[in-house]
Amino acid sequence: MKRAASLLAAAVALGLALASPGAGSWSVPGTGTGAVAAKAMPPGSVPDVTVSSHDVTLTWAAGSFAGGGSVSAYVVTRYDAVTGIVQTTLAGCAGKVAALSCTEQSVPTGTWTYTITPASGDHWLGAEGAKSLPAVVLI
Amino acid sequence: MPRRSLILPSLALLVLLGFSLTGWAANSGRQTADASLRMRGLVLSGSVKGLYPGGVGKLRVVVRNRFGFRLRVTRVTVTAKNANRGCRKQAVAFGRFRGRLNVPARRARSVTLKVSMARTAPNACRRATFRLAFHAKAVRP
Repeated sequence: MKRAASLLAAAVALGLALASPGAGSWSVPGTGTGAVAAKAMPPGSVPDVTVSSHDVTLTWAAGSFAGGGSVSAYVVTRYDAVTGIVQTTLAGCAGKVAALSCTEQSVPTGTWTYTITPASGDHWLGAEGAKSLPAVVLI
Repeated sequence: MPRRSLILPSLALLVLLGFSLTGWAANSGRQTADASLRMRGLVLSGSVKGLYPGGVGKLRVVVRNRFGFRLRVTRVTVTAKNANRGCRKQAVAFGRFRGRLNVPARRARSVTLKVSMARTAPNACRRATFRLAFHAKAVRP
């Protein structure tokens, strides 16, 4: 009789456990969607140029992202004002310039124009700005 | 023990087992229904604009509890999809929330996650939009 009572008790306990509405943990997963948008690069500004012998100093306005934040660097490009051919930018303004001015040194005799292209990070480039007024480097 | 004395307990056991299995099946069905309800019961959303290489921003994630009871959110994570062929998801990184955020029934709360773009993000990421998927874990306290 004791064995029967034990079996009955076990069955009751099992039934209560399995039939309980609270069975299972209430861990709730949540999901959803969203978006992250990257900025567009601002266009380059037109540089002012001053010539001193064979050194050409350029200054330009800072480029800012829409909504705030400045671009981190600029690429200076020199063109032959007569042919429009791109020249190799020389020391002082070569590569990415992390400032708002630079002086290109030992510029050969000729008439040159310059443009500024904003850069950000390792790869982002904005639109090249309009050409500067001609810089005349005499012999 | 006489056999007759075992008949009554055995019958009772069978009846109870039957009830138990029925209850379990019903509960199991309820849990399946709960699963789909749960998926809609805690909803996350959020967006941010203005990322650029090396830039760090704040992504405000709204956590909406549509249940009729309070929830405690313990984790919020974000994954991004590639923005386009040239702009992979690795260009952006996100912080995550781990803690306790109590969200009352049928109310919303928010958490702010850090979001950043790598300096090495390619040019193809200019003006790109990354679609995000939020995941959260919550418990009913």
